[in-house]
Amino acid sequence: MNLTHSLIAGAIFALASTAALAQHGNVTCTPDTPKAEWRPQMELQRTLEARGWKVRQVKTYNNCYEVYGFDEKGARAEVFFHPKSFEKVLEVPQG
Amino acid sequence: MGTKVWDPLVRVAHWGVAVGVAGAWWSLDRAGGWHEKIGYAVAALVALRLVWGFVGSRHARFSDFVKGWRATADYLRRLLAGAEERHIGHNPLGGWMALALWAAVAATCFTGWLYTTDEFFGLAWLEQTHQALAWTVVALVPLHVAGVVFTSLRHRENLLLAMLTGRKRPGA
Repeated sequence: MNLTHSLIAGAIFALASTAALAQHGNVTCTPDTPKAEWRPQMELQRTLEARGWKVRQVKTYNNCYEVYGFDEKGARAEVFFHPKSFEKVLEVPQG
Repeated sequence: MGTKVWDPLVRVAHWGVAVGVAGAWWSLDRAGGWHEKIGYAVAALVALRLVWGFVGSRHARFSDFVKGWRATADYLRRLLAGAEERHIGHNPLGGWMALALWAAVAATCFTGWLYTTDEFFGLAWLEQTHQALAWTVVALVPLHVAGVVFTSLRHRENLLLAMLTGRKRPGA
């Protein structure tokens, strides 16, 4: 057991011990709503921009629209929205 | 016992980055900012290793293992003829593989950091560049491992063990 082995063991332990943390990889919005009923991404972008957002990117992730940008207060935002109702489903905390 | 080849910093940087790359993959889309923290740790190791490539021990230095196009092509020719010599440090192809891996990891760290700045946050093209670089690392790793296994068999030595213990059988 030398320095290298100790470091590797330590790193593996550190990673494994945080495995229980929540993850937005699990976020889901509306698996049962047919895509035909989804409103266009551009409509969500326009809605947010009308509220004062600066939108950098909108993409589809796990039946959600995932928006990157800056909210009405100018704060950095990564938010998941329901693709039909445009309800906010999850806000990823920005550090 | 053998002769000392890979100093402790070389080994810690190597395995630290290997664990970090796996950790970065694991931490994708997880809360807690782990992906970023791991990225910074890997970037620090890469920076340290870069400096060590100029001031480190003999086989840690770029001058020891970065060979020109001609020397590398000649080595490849001998290898294809089954007559390549054994190197105590990296062989010329291994040297380029090491450089390619370090460069791809460094570029992945840099684009990841850029994405955290207000100027670049949320930009699709940067996210895609970061992903393409990460996949480049993932594509290089099996080639690297194949090179290690092949060279180990050719010269009847365990290069994986050498990267853990730092030691190799003496000789040219």
